[in-house]
Amino acid sequence: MCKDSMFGWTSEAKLFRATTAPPSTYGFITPEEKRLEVIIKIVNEYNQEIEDNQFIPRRRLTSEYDLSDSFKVQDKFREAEKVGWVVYAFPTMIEQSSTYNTPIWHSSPEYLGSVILRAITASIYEELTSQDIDPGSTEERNIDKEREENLRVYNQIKAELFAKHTGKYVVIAKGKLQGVGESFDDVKYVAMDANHRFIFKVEPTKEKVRGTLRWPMRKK
Amino acid sequence: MADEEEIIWSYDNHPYLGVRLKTYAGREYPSTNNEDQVMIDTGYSGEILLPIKIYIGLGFNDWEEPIVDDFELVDKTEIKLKVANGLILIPKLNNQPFPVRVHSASDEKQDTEEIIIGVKFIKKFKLLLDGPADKVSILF
Repeated sequence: MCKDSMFGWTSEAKLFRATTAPPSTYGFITPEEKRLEVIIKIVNEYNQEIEDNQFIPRRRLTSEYDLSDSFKVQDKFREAEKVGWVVYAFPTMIEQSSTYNTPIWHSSPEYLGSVILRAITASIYEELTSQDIDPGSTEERNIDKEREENLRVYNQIKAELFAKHTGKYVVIAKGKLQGVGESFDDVKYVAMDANHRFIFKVEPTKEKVRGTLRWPMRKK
Repeated sequence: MADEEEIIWSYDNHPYLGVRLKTYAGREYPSTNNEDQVMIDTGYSGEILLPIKIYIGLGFNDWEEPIVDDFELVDKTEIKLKVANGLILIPKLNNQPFPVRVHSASDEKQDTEEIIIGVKFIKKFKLLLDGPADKVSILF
């Protein structure tokens, strides 16, 4: 919860981290978009309830949003260039017509790449934050979980892959072998709705890559 | 060298190249600027190493290989880097993307703070590092 001195926001929920990727035009829905659809549904259902019970017209949220783009902004006070991010805000309670559905630019690290629902009511806030759709970690957890499962399946069927599909390209996703093709292009869009995929050429003789990485890695 | 053309990047602290990353799904980085200034690190023997946030943000987890690569750090310890297939281009050179093996740490504790490009990447180009003039050029 917070109060913004400029816009007077009374509450906010940081929902998840946005990617730097542009909105989906790829023919499939990204995990961020899926999650945003859930949020929009909850908020719109709540608004419908208010309309039905109190006869107060409420604004509907749409999925027209822009999660994209880091951009450089000039910091006038420090005379330095730094990275800012577009953050999308959905005001639902406060009448701020000029800021409805407009991206708000932040240069504060606190808002780095986040999607924030602002000026929401306590009940929506509680509903959203009680669900497992908050801060970006959900997606990463899902990726790690699916990666683990895909790796388990890979190790399980490795011998069979080498026996039957040597030289071919395969996709493992959602814990099973999803496709086999003669070329990378044949399989590259298979199971794109998964959170994690292995896509590779079956090469039993491929050498293990060993390299050096001298200094930029940090140890925390 | 007389017949060769060059494209130049001037730098302040570290030599870098201006590159643009793409996934096979069409996601691109950076999404606003034409190129990102990516540090050249001759101590890294791979092609390109991404911070986990950018790796996940661009969805490289959808283009991964099952076998990780082993890398040795300066203190002789070993780390495992995830491998994904992607595309890279140098906008100042041309708009032709070429395939690249993208690395990223598996463990956040071993994450890199910035994108770095390594020896295997610069092997594709004739690179000129002009220390006194603080500039890097690709000759072509």
